[in-house]
Amino acid sequence: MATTVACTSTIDLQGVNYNYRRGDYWGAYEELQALQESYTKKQGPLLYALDAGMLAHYGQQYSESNLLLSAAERGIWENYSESITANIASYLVNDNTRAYQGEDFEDLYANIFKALNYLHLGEPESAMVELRRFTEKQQLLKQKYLNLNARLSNTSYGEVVEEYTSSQFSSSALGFYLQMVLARDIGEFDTAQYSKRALEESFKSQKMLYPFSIPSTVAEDLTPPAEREGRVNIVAFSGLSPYKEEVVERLPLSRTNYVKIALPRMVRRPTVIDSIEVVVSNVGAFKLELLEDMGTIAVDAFKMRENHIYNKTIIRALLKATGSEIIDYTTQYMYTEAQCQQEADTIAVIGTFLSFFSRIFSEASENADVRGSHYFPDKAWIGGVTLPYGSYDVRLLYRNRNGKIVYEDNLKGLTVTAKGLRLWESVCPL
Amino acid sequence: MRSKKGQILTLLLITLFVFAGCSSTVRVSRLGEDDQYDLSGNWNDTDINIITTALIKSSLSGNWIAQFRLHKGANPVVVVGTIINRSSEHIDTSIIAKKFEMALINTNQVDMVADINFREQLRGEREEQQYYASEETAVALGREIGADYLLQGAVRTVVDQTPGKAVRTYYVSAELVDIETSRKVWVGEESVRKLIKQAKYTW
Repeated sequence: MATTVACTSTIDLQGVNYNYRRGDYWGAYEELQALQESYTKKQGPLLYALDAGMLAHYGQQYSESNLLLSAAERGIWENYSESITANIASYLVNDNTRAYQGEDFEDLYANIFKALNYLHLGEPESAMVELRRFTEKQQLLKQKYLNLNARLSNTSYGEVVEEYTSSQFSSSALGFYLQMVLARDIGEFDTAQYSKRALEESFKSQKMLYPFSIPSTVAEDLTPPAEREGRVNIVAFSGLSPYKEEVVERLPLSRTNYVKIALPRMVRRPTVIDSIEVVVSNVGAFKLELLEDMGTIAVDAFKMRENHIYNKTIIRALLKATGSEIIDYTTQYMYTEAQCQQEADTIAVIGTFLSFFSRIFSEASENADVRGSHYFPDKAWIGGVTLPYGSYDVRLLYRNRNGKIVYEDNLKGLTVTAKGLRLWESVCPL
Repeated sequence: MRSKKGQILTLLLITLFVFAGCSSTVRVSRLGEDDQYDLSGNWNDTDINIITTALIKSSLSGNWIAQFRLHKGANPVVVVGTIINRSSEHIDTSIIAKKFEMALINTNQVDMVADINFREQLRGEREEQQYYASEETAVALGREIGADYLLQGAVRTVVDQTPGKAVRTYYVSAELVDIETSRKVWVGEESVRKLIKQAKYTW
């Protein structure tokens, strides 16, 4: 039993990561597909769908990516209803007994990437559907924070109100930016204007998450261009979102007993990219600016659940340790109360066995829930340029802090026409 | 005696396992047209029926058909345009358009012409016939019937929600526009409101 509960649910993604890091997204996607059975068995279908959906997007398999990300979105929605039995088990064993419910940022960004998929497939109406869905989810998130704050102030004593460490992310500038550009390109100018204002509000109301200025392109993106010219926007993603790791602490309860506390912690995987230069054939070059630090947002959104996870872990760990303590105490008591030496010896053997088993169970089963998706990006950058109608080749030069080009992405045969979508996308794995 | 009982029990258990093994995990049953099933709270066939029935009734009760017939002495010709999806769900709005088309044409008081996409196909076919069909059977060019009215519309959603509970309202609007004058001769809007509850805990 102890061996069973101790079974690790982590999965080896080395092969996938190797291809991903080289920018071979299709290869990474294929590697992940080969792992589908074991991945789904260990971490569930939701996480597989999120990871595969993202890799399919990077690998330009947009329809496939949409199917996978839709499955993930449905999974998150369905897993909102928690199983009571699994929940009870999570208080006795660990949080991995519960179905993975998805982090808020995963749920939100799934719609962003679905919108980008539809954009690449030339279906702007469907892309707008995704962005509206995204807006709805943001409103729900806002509501969630309001409920939480109300609950916290209700449970506070006197003047002391528990401070919430999260800056309560509920408005993504990236989402509003995409909505603005898309609405502009399909002629929904009211929506474009609204999205621009909402983007500016995201920066204003969440200064902790957006400690940099609004990219300069935003001010110019809705200005009507001259005749036979079109405003083109570029969105680039770099790095990988944070992952969760287990932090273990063992606190002594007595000379022979201790409490094992295993908590999940978000660990950043910051991008090495410091600047991105866009070189447009026969036109010139311009730089992209940072729009959203998705890694910071992921960490911040996780903070909202941290208190709950911490409290639950403490209760569970204490329950387990108390169980061992009770066994020890009962054994001791029964041993002293035994009628004869033979009975006392039997009690001592059984008691020692139970105590040993209880400690093994406690040690092996107390694992943090470190499940999470692996392939959302760390940062989103944007830029814009007004170009005459025509066809262009674009080079994106990703530079590190020293100005050295560490990655290059070439986008070929991009057209600027009177009608049609004018949002180009690039991805850097570093 | 005891062994006989044991044998019967074993047999029963085996039968149970055999039946359990044979039973399929997928079950299908036919539903009646009036049966209403909501599984996820998303837009479904019931919503389509409620909306289109109400909108069609509203459009037919308007006096635009009678007015047109009175002035022109012929049936008005309608072309179906686009019903735009401005909601937060992927909705196939062509079903609404098609239901509208069927209802109007079945009144025998309205003539319909093929929509823009289908017309392109027809024009291609007609042009090809000029080259490849025999002179006697090739259809003539330039004999399309011009539409008098364009039907267009939109689907929108408004969602009010808290975790585990949502009120989702679908607004479906449709309008008939006089193509010559851009005058709107009929505008209708219908809505469906749904309360969607999702339990936080389940067995």
